Amino acid sequence: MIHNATNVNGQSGVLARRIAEAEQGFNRLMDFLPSDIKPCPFVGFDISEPTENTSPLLGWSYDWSDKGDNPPPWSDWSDKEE
Amino acid sequence: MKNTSFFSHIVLQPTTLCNLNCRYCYLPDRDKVDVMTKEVTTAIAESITTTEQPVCLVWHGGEPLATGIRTFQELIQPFRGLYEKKLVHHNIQTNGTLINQQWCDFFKEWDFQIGVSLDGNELHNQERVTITGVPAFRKIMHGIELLKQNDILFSIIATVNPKNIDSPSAFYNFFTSLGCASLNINIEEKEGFNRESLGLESEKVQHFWHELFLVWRENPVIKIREIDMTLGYIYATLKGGQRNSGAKKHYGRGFWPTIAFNGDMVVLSPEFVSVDESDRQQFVVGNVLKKPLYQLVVEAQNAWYVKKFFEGVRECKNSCAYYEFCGGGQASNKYFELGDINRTETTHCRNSRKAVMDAVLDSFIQLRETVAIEGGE
Repeated sequence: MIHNATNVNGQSGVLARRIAEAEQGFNRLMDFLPSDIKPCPFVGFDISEPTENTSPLLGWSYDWSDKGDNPPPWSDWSDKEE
Repeated sequence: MKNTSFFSHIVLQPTTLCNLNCRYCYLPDRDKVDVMTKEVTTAIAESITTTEQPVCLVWHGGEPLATGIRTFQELIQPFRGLYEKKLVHHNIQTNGTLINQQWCDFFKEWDFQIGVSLDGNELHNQERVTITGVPAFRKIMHGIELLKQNDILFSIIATVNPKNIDSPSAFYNFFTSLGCASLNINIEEKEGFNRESLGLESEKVQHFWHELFLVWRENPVIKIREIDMTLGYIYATLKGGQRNSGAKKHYGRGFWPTIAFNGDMVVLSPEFVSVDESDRQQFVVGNVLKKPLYQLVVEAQNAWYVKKFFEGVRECKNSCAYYEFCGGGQASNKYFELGDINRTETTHCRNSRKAVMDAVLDSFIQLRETVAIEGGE
């Protein structure tokens, strides 16, 4: 099930629809992957422009809603919660 | 959205020198012996002292170990107090050929995270050679062996090039037997000094990712950064992670301030310290010997190329189906390949973002179709 429905009609909707088609294969893989190899939900690359009151943002975001394990090695140890 | 630190990561160039002469290298000054001074690292350390957030120092190069162990030990001393307070963390990217016991002791003392550059087995690694053209494979493997003997974890950055692109299975199997913690894959690209890159055919790149994903899926024993991110994005999309902002964690890299050996600073892409000398100055936003790092990063927000970069990102957002996965591309790729930073899609986008996502999704969709056919028979 695709949750980011607001994107379905936009540019990213094209990708979202293909991801929906891939759901069954993805779930089969997740059932099979060892826990230390399973991916963390990766929300995407965050980029935001600096404004008068904010610093620029260039980084990676992960959804941590049900994950208590360590981040992947290429993420940063100095994490910040949003 | 909560702000990230202005410099959660700082890339340092302790020397421009490299003892290798890899065919695809983008560094024009790798034969010059320019070495960072302690004044520069002292200035950086003083800037970090004023921050509240821990900072990851990424020692890059040139080949950082070509600095020499004694000089490196001097350069790192200003960070001693910060390290003990856990305000800095060290990461180094090395070609591995100069690693000896002294370096291993040093890495352990400062708890370095190690990345070794290696493209695969002896055949696959042929593009990585010494200045005299001798293959570097055995020296690299000797360095890796020392890391293992000292129980020092290491990851690998492998560059996909004409020597290994046709053998994804052997490529992956080699790294699974190497004992690395993870594998990061770069696709050779036209960048910096490497403007004459042969370039890799897009069909071959797509085939590489497709086959690599299949062989990884059969034996998933190490994480491959690009596949992990792709699966992670699919995972987040399917489970609604993008809507669950309360549980989102951000791993910010900030502006990627990169400090050259002489204290000059560039932002956005470390590769900008490595453009031809005649073009380099346009990317330098200041020098840490003259202004605090924090101030330089604040001022860099108004640099011409930062503004152009965000123009391009806005256009990426409007035009690319992969934007939310990719985030708008790399400034250095846009400059080196397309000639300007406010542009959109590059070969890097196609080869290292889109092609991976396509390979993984196509594989899943084919699997579903196969299951459906088998189920119908």
